[in-house]
Amino acid sequence: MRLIQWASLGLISLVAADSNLTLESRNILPSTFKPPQHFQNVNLVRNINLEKNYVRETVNVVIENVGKEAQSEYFLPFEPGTIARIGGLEARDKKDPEKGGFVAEVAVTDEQSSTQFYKITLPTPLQPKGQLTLSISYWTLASLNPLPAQIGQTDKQYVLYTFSAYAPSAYLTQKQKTKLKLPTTDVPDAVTLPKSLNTEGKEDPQKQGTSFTYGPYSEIEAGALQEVSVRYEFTKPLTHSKLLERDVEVSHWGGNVAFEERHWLTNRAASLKNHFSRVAYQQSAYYNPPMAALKELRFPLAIGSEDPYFIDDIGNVSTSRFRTNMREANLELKPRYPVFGGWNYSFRVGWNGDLSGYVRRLKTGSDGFVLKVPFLDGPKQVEGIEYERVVTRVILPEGAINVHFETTIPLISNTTSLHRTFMDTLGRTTLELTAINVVDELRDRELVVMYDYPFSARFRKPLTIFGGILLVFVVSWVVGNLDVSIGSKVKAA
Amino acid sequence: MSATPLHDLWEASASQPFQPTFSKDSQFQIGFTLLFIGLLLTGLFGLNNTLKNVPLYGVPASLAFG
Amino acid sequence: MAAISQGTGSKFFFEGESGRNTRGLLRLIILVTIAAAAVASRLFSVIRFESIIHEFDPWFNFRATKYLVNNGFYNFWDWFDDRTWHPLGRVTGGTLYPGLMVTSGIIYHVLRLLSMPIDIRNICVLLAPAFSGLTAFATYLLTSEMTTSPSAGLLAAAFMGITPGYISRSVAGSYDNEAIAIFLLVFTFYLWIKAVKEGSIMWAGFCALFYGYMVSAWGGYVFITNLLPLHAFVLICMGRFSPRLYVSYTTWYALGTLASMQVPFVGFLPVRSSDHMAALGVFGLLQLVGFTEWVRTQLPSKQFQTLLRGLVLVVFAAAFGFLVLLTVSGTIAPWSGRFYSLWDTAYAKVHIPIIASVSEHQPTAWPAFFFDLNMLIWLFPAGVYMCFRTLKDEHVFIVIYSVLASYFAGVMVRLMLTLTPIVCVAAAMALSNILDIFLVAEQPVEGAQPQANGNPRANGPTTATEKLASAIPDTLRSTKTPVVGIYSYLSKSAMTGAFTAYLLLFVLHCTWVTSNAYSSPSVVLASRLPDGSQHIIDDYREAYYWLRQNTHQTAKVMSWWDYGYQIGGMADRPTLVDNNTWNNTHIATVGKAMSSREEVSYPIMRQHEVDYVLIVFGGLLGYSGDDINKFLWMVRIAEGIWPDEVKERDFFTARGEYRVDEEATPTMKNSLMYKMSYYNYNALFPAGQAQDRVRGAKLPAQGPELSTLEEAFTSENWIIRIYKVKDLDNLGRSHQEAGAFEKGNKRKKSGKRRGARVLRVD
Repeated sequence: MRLIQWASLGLISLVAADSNLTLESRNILPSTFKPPQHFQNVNLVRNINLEKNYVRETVNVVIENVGKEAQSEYFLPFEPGTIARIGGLEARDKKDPEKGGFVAEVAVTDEQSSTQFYKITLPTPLQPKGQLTLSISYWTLASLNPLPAQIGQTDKQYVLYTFSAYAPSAYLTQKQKTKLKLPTTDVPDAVTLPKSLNTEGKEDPQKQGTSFTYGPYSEIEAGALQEVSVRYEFTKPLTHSKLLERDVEVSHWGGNVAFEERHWLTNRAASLKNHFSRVAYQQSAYYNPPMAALKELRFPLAIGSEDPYFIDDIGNVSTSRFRTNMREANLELKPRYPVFGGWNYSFRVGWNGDLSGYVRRLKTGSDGFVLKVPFLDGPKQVEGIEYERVVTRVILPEGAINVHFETTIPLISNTTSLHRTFMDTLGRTTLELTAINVVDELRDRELVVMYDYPFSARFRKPLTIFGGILLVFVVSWVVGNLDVSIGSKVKAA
Repeated sequence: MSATPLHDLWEASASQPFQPTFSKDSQFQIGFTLLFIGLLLTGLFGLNNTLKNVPLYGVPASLAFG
Repeated sequence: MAAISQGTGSKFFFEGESGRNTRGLLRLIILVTIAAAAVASRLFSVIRFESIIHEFDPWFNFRATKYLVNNGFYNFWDWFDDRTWHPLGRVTGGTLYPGLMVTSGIIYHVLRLLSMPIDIRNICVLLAPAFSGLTAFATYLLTSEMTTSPSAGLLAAAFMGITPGYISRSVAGSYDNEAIAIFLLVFTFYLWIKAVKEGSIMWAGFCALFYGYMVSAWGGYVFITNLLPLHAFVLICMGRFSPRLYVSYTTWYALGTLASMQVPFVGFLPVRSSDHMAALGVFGLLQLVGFTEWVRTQLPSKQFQTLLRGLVLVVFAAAFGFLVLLTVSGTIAPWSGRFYSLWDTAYAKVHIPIIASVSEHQPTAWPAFFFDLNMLIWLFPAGVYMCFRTLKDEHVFIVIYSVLASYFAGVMVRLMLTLTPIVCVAAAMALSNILDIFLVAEQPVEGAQPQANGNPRANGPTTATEKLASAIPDTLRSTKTPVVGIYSYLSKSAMTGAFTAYLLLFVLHCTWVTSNAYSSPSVVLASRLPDGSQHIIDDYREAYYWLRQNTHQTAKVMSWWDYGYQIGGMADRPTLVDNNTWNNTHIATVGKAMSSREEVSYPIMRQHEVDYVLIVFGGLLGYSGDDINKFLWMVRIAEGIWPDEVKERDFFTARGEYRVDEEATPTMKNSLMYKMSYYNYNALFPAGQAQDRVRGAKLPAQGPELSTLEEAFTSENWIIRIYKVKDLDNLGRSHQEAGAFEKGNKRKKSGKRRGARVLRVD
C-alpha cells in the first residue's frame, strides 16, 4: 500500500515538474546505464532538515575507490519523480571546504528508467584505495504534503514526509545513519522499523526531542531502499512559487538600478474543508494563531533602496509598508486576501537602488564596469519559500558589450539578447539567466556581471533625440515656407 | 581563489564605485533647465522661422532636448 | 488678453510680421497653459489613488481596448464575446462604438513606433485628460469664429478646461466614450461653422469626417445629426438660404451619412430610424429651395413663381406624409425608448425601469447647474443675448444649440455634458465683451470713434447695462458727460476687480468640485483614520482578484448588472449580465433569482450554469451603494417580466416601509438577496446586537440560513460577498432536506456524508 502511495506521489510530481525535466536533460545516458561499482561508501551520515517548508538534505560520506584505476565520476541516484525537484545540489570536499564546489550535473537516462543520477566530477581523480570525504547538500522542493489534505480554517496542519531510511546510493554502503530534524515534537505518526535492521539493535526511529534518528545500518546494497514516513505538525503556509521573473535594469545616466520581481505564488498547504469564513478569520486574527494561510511577505531589501511599489494585475495593492532607515529597508507586503491552501496569488514588486552601490568601474580601461546584485531577492519567510523556476534578467544600458557573468547558483540556461524599451534605437543588452528549484536560503547569492560600456554608446540616445528634434525643426521650416507660398491667407503661427 | 574571477575583479575595484555624471538629486533641475531652454529656443524659432534660424535656434534647442 | 495689452513695446516683438507672430506665440503659450491646466486638474485621482480605470463602463472599454491591442483590428471588428451575457454571448464588435478603443489603440502603436512602450492601461487612463486639452483648443477655435475679440476664445478655452460639468466625465481614469466625444462634438461644430461661413467644400468635408469619427465614438452623435439640420432649417426659414449653406449642408450630409454607415453598430440606421429623418428631410428641403432659387433667377414671371412655391410646398408635404407612412408601417424604426424619455421624463419610469434605474438618467436637480457650471450659468444668457444682437449665421447656431442643450440638460443629468461647451462659449463671449470694454475702452474724443479692440463700441455699454443694474446710470451719464462713468478708473477697476474675484472664485469652485466630487474611482474607497491619514478600502479589488486567482477560468459569476463590466475587467470571469443592458429579459431573470425564494432561485441558477454569486453589502461599513439599496430595482425589473411571481408590494411592510429588520416582510426575508447579504453577519456581533449601519436597522437575532449556496469568500470589510452555488445533492434530495437531515444527524453520520460532498465541491 505504501508502495502505491510512493509511486503515486512520484507520478504527481513528475507531471508537475515536467517542464523542468526537459530543460535539464543535458547528459543523456543509455537507459540500461548502471554506475560502475568503482566506489564504496565507507561511512555515510545523512541529515534531513524539515524545519522549513522545503527539505534540506546534507550527506556527508566517506568514499573509497575500490577499483583498480583512478576514478573521478561519482553518481548519486534519485527517483525519477524526485530529480526534477532537486535544487541547489552542491558537493565539496569536507576536509578542504575552501577549495570550492565540485562540478555536479544531472545525468538523465531516458524516461522509462526508474532511477536518475546526478554525476559529481571530482577535480582530481581518486587513486585506488584512496579515500575522500564528500559533503553533498541539496534541497528537495514540494516534498511535504499535507495530510489530511483538507482542514478547517483554524485547524492545525500536519504534513507527511516520505523518504527512504537507507540513503539512496549507487554504491555499497558499509555504515550509515539518517538524522531528521523536525520543527516540532508533535509527531503523531512515524513509521517504525524493526530492531533487526538496526546495527545497534534499537528500534527506529530513535527520538530525542525534535530530532529523530534512523540507523545505523550496515552493509546496505547499492540501490536498496527502505521506505519510511513521518507525519508532523506544520501549521505554516507551504509557499510555492511557480515562477519568479526578476528584472535588474541598470541606467548609467540616471545613476539608478531598478529591480522588479514578478511572483506567481501558490500555497501548497491543506485546502479549506469548508469555504473561507470571514467571521472565523476576523475572530482568529485577534489571537493571531499559527495558520496555514499566507498572510504577509517580508522583503528585506538592500539598505538605501527606495520608491518601492507593490502591484498586481488589477492595480496597486495598498496594504504594504516600507520601513527604511540607515540600518534596514524592509518591505512588508500583505496580499489582498489571505492565501489559503490551494489558493494562488500573483503580484509584482519593484524598487530602486543607487547605482554607485552596485556598479564599480574597472581598473583596466575606462569603459569596463562590474555589477554585483543579488541573484534573487524575494521574500524572506520564517517557514521558507521555494521557487520552481527563477528567471533573472539583467538589462544593461544600450550598447553594452562583452558581457560576462558569474554566479554560484546552478543555472540551466543563459542567453544574451536585446530588449527594446523606452527611446531605444537598437535595444538594451540583456542577460537572461534561468535557474530551477531555488529556495529562499539562496537569496544572498550574488550575481556578478562584467561589461564594457563604450563612451560612444553613452551618447547614442541623446544624439538620436537631437537628430529627431532637429528634423522636426527643419521640417517645420520647410512646411512653414510652403504654407507661405500656397495659402493666400496666412494666419499667425 | 581562481574559481570566482569576476568576484575578484569586483573586490579589486572596490576603490572605484560608479559615479553618475549627474547625481540623482540634481537630475530634475538639469532636466528642467534643459527643457526650458529647449522650449524657449523653439519659441524664438517659431517667431521667425527662416533657414538661417534653423541652425541658430534649432541646433541648440535640439541639443537641449537631447 | 495678454497678447493685446502688450500691443506696444519693442519693435521686434510687437510690430509687423514678427509682432503678429509674437501675439500668435503668446496665444499659443496661453492655450498650451490652459491645456496643461485642464490636464492637471483631472489628475487628482491619479495622485490621490493610482492610475486606475474608474467606475463601471470604462472597465468594459478598457477590456475591449486590450482585446483590440492584443488581437488586432479585424479580430476586434468580428469579436464575439462569449464571456458576457452567459449563455447568450454578445456580438461585441458589432454592438459598440469603436472610436474610443481605436483611438487608444492607435496612440498605443504610434508610441510604440517611437520606442515609447507605454502600458495600454496608462494610455487609457490618461486619454480623457489629454483629450480635454484638445477640447479646450477646439472651444477656442469655435469661439473665435463667433466674435472678433481674441480674448473670448481664450476665455472659453479656459472655461472649458476646468468646468466641472465637463470634468465630471473626463477625469483621469474615466475612460468612457464621452472622453473623446466632447472634443469631437465641439470640433465638428467648429468645422460646421467654418463651412457655413465660407461655403467651402473642404471645411464641410472635414466636418463630415469628424462627424464620422464622432459617430464611431458616441451614441450622442444624434445630437449633431439633429442640430445641424435644425440650424440649416432655421436659416432657411429666416430667409437666409445661400449657396454657402447649400454647399456645406449637402456636402456634410452626403459624406457624413456615408461615414456614419461604416460603423457596424449604426449601419443602416441613418436611413431607417426616425432619429435621423430630420437630417434627410432638411437635405430634401435644401434641394427644393435651391431649385426654387435657381428657377427664380431664370424665370422672372411672378405667377410662375407663386406656382412654383405652391409646388414646393406640395412636394414637401407629400414627402413628409410619406415619411410618416413609412414610420407607421414600420419600415423606419420608431423613436427609441431612450429618446422618448427625453420628452417625457416619466416615460422611462413606467415603461423601461432599467433606464430609470440608472442615476445619470434622472432629471437634473437645479443646484446641479450651479454646481457644475458656477458663474458661467449666469453669464450664459448674456452671451446668448449678445448672439441675438449680431445674429449672423453662426450666432443662430449658438442660439439653437443653447436652447436645445438647456432643455436636454434639464431632462437628464448626463446631458449636462452637451450643455457645457455652449455655456462656456456664450459665457466667454459675454465676459470678454465686458472685459474688453472696461479694460481697453478709452475716453472717447468728441466725435471720434474710440479705438477698441473688441466688438463695435455701441455694443459694450449696453451689454454692461444688461449685466449690472448699478452700471446703468453710469453708462447713461457717461454718454452725456464723458469725464466720469465707465471711462473713469474707478468704475474700470471696480468692474475688473469684481470679475477677477469671480474668476478666482470660479477656479476655486472648480478645483473644489473636481477634487471632492469627481475624482473618486469608485472601485477604491477612501476613508480617514482617526489620526487623519488616508485609509484605502479596497474590497472590490480584493474580491475580484480572489475570483481571478482562485476560481476556474470559466466559472460563471452572477451579480447585478452594475458589476458585470468590473467582473469582466478585473476578475476576468464570465458574467450573466452587465452594464450593456441590451437584454431586459436576461436582466430580469437575474433580478428574479435575486428576489425570489431559494427554491425558485436555485433552478434558475442551475439553468444558467451559475457557479458563483457576487453581491455587494455595505451594512458593516455603512457603504450605501450596496445591493440591498438597489434591490427594489431588481424587483421592479423582474416584475416587469413576471408580474405574477415577483411583486414589489410584497417587499414593503403593511405600512409601506422598506425594512430589513425584524419587521421585514416574509418575502423580503426569504429572498435570496436578503439571505446572502446577512448570512453569518450576526456572528460578528454579540447575540442579538447585529446592526446594519447603512439602513440603521437592528437585525433579527436569528440570522438567515442558506441551503443551496455556501459562502465562498467575503472581503475584508464585507463589501463584497461571494457565494458558491452547490451541486445537486448526491442522493437526489432537495438541499433543504439534506440540510435538515444533516443537522439532525450531525453527530452520528456527518463524517461519511460530508466526505462525499466535499469531494464533489472541488
